[in-house]
Amino acid sequence: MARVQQGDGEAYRALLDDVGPLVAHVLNRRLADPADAQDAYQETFIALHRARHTYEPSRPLEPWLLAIAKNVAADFGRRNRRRALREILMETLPEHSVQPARDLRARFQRALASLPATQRDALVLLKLDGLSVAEAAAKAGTSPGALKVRAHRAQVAIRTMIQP
Amino acid sequence: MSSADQHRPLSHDALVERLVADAHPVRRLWPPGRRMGVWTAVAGGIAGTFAARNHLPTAGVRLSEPLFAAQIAMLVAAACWCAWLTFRASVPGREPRAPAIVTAILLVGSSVLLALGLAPETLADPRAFVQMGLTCSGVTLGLASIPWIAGLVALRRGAPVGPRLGAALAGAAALLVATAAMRTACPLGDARWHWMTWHLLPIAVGAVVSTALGPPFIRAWRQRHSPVRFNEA
Repeated sequence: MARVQQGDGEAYRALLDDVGPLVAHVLNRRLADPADAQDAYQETFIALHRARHTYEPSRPLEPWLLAIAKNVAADFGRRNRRRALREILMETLPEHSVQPARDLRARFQRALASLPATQRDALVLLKLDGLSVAEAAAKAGTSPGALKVRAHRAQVAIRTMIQP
Repeated sequence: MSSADQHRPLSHDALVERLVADAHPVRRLWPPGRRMGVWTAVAGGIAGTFAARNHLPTAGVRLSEPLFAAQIAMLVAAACWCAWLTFRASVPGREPRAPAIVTAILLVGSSVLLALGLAPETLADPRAFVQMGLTCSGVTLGLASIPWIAGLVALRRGAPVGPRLGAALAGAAALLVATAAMRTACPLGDARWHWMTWHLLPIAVGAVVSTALGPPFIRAWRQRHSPVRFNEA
């Protein structure tokens, strides 16, 4: 880790490969949803990266690493609890969609094509390709927060455009 | 595929590549002990200078009185302990656990208990009580401001996993050291209700305010100064 703090890329790669299974194990034990665990895995690595200057070489690595992983898992747990409070489960699904499907699809495609490229990519990666936020952000070369903002703006724009 | 690989999410390699690409040298955070030393020099310097210039004529003699000396000693001890926990809180894995927090609460609680040993004054003139009190609290806040900001800066320079707790401790430490200095200078320091209302209560209020305002301040800084640079939307 001391070499990582000095900017040694190979040492960093070896370290991340070494700690990966431990981080995955901790997160899988703490998060019931595998998709959450995978997102948390990536967030843990990003948090580790941001906090790497705080590691003291004279101390063991494991407590430092586990504190970061457990904190990320706790954040996910809190987020899930908040989301569960907001969601309203419906007993029956509506029989018909609000819009006729054929017309809607064409309008959606037109609206999607008219979006700025960054917003379109965010929406496609996140909603159509079904990637997690962290994966989509990594693929788009942006932060998870920025990607969510782009996807949200795209959704709002499309909703406005396809409304009759 | 090895068993270790099977446990990793599929995106591990891509993630590692991205992080390794950003692996530049970083300035290592000073150990909590050294940071504590700097904070103590700053906070102690401000409080000491204030006390040396503004102490009551009797303050030197009164240091031999057990209650007076114990009050100052307890406030200083509580301030040092809270500051120490603040610096620990900025390092993952070294954040204060329950016994350390309980110790901090006991130290602050002891200061309150010692204040109960002061003689209660009669509150004949509420207006004077409030006016004098607001002046004392204002001076305390002014004395605490630099150590308070220094504590929050120290936190945001690190990576606190519990920013609320860290911010509360930073606020408490700064106000405790300022209150210790005020004990030598406040002309109503021996009046129980004045001391408890305008000197001890603001420590609790300050800790709560710091808990609320500290984390956004820490987060904002960390986002702006994050070593990972992403493209913004």
